Order: sequence, then C-alpha cells, then structure tokens
Amino acid sequence: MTDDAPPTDAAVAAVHPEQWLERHGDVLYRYALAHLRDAHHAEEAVQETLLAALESRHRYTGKSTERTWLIGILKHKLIDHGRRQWRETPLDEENYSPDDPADGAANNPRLFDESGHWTLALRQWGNPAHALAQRQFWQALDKCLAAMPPKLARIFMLREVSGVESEKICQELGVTATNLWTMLYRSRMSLRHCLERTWLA
Amino acid sequence: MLSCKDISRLVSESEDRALTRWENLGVRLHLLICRNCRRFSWQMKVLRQALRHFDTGMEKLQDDADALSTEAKDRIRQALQCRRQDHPG
Repeated sequence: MTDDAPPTDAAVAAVHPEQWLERHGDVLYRYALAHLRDAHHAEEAVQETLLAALESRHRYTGKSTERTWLIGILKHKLIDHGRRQWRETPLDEENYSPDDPADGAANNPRLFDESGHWTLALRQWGNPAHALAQRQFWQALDKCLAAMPPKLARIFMLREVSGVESEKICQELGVTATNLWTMLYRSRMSLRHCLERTWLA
Repeated sequence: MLSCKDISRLVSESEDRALTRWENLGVRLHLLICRNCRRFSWQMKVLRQALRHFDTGMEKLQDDADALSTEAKDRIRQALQCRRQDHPG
C-alpha cells in the first residue's frame, strides 16, 4: 500500500469515493477474482463493495487505510458470492483427476510410499518474510492458485485469505467439518507441491 | 506410530481445529525425529503467512495480473454515479 499514506485524524472524514475505482479497483478485482475464479462474479463483487462502501462511508473511521477498509467490505461480499456459487454447482459435480499434479497431491501415490513416508526430500523454504518480499514467490503462488480446481480454490481462499472461521464456512456452505478439513488439506498439499516446483524450480 | 502422511494431515488440520492432546504430542514427537515433516510444517507456516498477506502480494503483481477492463470500470462508475445521485452528500 505504498500510495496510501497512513490516515491521520484530519483524514478521518476524508474519503474519496470518486477515486476509489482508479485507486483500488484493480486490487479489489484481483482479490475477488482469485476467490471467485469468474470475471463476471468478480466484477459484480467489486461493484457491490463500492456501493456498500458509498452507503456506509460515514462509518469509515480512518483507523485502517481506505483500501484495507474496502477489502474488509469485499470479504463480506465474497462470502455471499461463495454461497451462491456453491449452491449453483456443488463440489461433487467436479471431475477430479487424481493424476493431475495440480490436484489431489494429497492422494498422489508418488508423494508418500505405502508406509506413509515422503518419497522425496522436501525443500527448505527459508524465512517467510524473505519469501513474501519476492516477486517470484507471488507469481508462483498466483499461478499455482489458478491451477487449483476452482471449487476447491474458492473454499480454500475463503478460509486462508479471507480468514473465515471453519465453523462459519460449514454453516454457510452446508458442508460437514470433516469434508471441509479434507478439502483444505488437499488444497494445501497441492499448493505446496506446485509451489515447490514452480517457485523453487 | 504416526506416519508422515498422518502428520501432514494433522499439521493441516491444526489450522482448522484444535488437535487433541495426544495428536499434539504425536505431532511434536514426530517432528523431533523427521526432517521432512519439520520442513513440511515450516512450509505450511510460510504458506499461511503469505495467504494472510494476499492483498500485499497482489499489489506486487500489479503490472502483470488481471485488471478490470475499461468497460467494466465504466459499468461500475455508472452504477456508483446513479447511487450517488440517489443519495447525495
């Protein structure tokens, strides 16, 4: 958030709705797209966010940056959209291919041997702060997220990026806790596997 | 005895639920003796931190990632304008 100076008391009332789209539109859109995996839904979510922000702009206290505040509103919209998408196409209908390296790495027989040991040595990823500062890391992460099955990715993003509690996801989407944990496990395994090959290749 | 596969599952689930005391102990003991699982556990930590900072990461990709099209921006701008005329001030 380099272009956003930390808000001062003087800035508390100063929101600039006419500049939201130019300043934050693309970041909000990419954030939404990564969650929803659908350009139309993502555009809708951005529009709903800005409209909601416009109506509640008097509630912006300036404690966070304008962008963080907008992303906070977007997160609520993403849960709504996630619920809608989930109803339209439940996960069961998706065809998984266990051999696809982008998917199902958790069940990939090459990852663990019969006794459940890793078949390959895992790499050292180093200091998180160092990884997060690398553009290559984010490029790899972006690529690996895009390679995940969309429905799995949507659930995963709600949990890990938007930080929605497991119980809430279960309630909102009507999945059992055990199923949710399995889906999140598969997501993390496939993402890890992909990152190790893409980022550190 | 828990296998590496079991451990990977438990490490993942520890982010979504509280592990039982025995599960916790099992994971801890296993990590003491298994370098691969220690690395796995660390990798999960890196991944979690990265995902929590996803918006910052997206800003880093500002130039080469998807952006709103001009048409999409126009549509949104129009919607915002309508709303502001309805509710001025």
